[in-house]
Amino acid sequence: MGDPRFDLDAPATRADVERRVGAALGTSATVTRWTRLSGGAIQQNLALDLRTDAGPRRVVLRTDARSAVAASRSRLEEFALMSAAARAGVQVPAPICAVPCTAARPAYTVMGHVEGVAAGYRLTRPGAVADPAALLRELGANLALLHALAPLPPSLAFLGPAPTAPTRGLLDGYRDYLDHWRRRFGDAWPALEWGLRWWQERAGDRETAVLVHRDYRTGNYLVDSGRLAAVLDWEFAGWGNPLEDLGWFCAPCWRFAAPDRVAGGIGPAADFLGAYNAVAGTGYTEADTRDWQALAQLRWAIIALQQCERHMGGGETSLELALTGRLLPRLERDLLALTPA
Amino acid sequence: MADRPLASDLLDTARAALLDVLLPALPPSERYTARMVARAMEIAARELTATPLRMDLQRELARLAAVVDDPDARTEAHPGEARARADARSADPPPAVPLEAIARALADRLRAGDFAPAAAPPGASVERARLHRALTAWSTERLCVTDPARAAPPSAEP
Repeated sequence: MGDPRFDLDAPATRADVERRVGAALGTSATVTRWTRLSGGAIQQNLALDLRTDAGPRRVVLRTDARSAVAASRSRLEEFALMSAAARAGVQVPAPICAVPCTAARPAYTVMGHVEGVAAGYRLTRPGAVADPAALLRELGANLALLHALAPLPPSLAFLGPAPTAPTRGLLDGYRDYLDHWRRRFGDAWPALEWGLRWWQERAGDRETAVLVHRDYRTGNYLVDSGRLAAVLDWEFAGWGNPLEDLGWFCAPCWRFAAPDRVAGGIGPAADFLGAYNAVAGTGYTEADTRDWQALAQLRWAIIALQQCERHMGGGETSLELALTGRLLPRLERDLLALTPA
Repeated sequence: MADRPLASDLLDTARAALLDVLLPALPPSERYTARMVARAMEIAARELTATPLRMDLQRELARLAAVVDDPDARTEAHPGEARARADARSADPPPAVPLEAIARALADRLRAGDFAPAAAPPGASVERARLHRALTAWSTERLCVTDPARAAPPSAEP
């Protein structure tokens, strides 16, 4: 495998970044220092310290870690989604610029740097957040602002028209992936099939689709001094049932060190949902999210298999991806607990 | 005869050296990777010493998958009788069908809607409940390898 890194030490790349960022900010910009932030298996994030006409400024450059990315949206689409969310009032890092790929380097986007902690296990330790209810209220209200975004701006035309039954579409995708796994590795996953069947009996033919984040959970937002600083990771956003985001946030798989705190391991669901309902004009309760928590378990299990497949058969040896495959028993067990016979 | 120490012992000892000696000496940026290595060693060590799936559970899964002859299925109206027979057979060997084939057959039956209430014949709700119990038990047994601290039943479930 060739070097997948975006090389900011290459003079041409650095000059390109300085020119693009400077133009977007209306200033001259010189990179004085850069560091690699912890990134996912799919993308990488770099922190850039800039010297500008207005003084020093820190920004984040986000780019693909690999040349080929299967599941997530392109960096440019992600940037468009984040920009639309920013205009809707959702707290996100300030979008600066999006630059298409060339033969020499992948596409990249640049946004303002936001201080804060995102790590799930750190945020869900006892006492880590001074006022969990306040944080959950901010998280609920921000999600409601996203779901209220309508009509979508032309920059999101790549999403296509709203589907009439987005959840059925998700189930079809999960079923197809399980078939793919079985063809490739010979194994079946009866607990996941149970979850699919259970949901198939319940999924409606008509749903109201809104713009959902689809990865709105602890670990994907920054907390600074106990308050929400920014919602991150927009690469999975798209059309969906608003309850999908609520269930994903509350699902057992995203509670980290605090499995008994339903709302993202931070606190009770009522704090999160109450703030969401107040902005969205809905009346959702924790009970309304249970089926969707089950769907979240199913979806994360499918993603875990996809990541495992990248390690096992995709020429991308990675301990992190390999260990993700071993999450299956716990994901299954929590899925089964949420889908009683 | 197995050479000593056993592979699981080697892994446990290597993991302890990694966590106790090497990890504190690593720069913070590399500690996450070291912890992942320790986690992989921990799972591998447990898997090396894990006991096979309980025979009664394997038999139940095979029965639900309809890959073995199923005397219990004909006596659903008398579950006590079926249980007595199952208890009497507790020393029986597990079914010859491998677990992978059982999993595939179960998946096929679920896809076909065999356990769905709408299409189910009388007694199928019992089968559905038994399938749910068996799948939960199976996941829990595997959880004992990957994450035994979480293998207790989830709290606050109805």
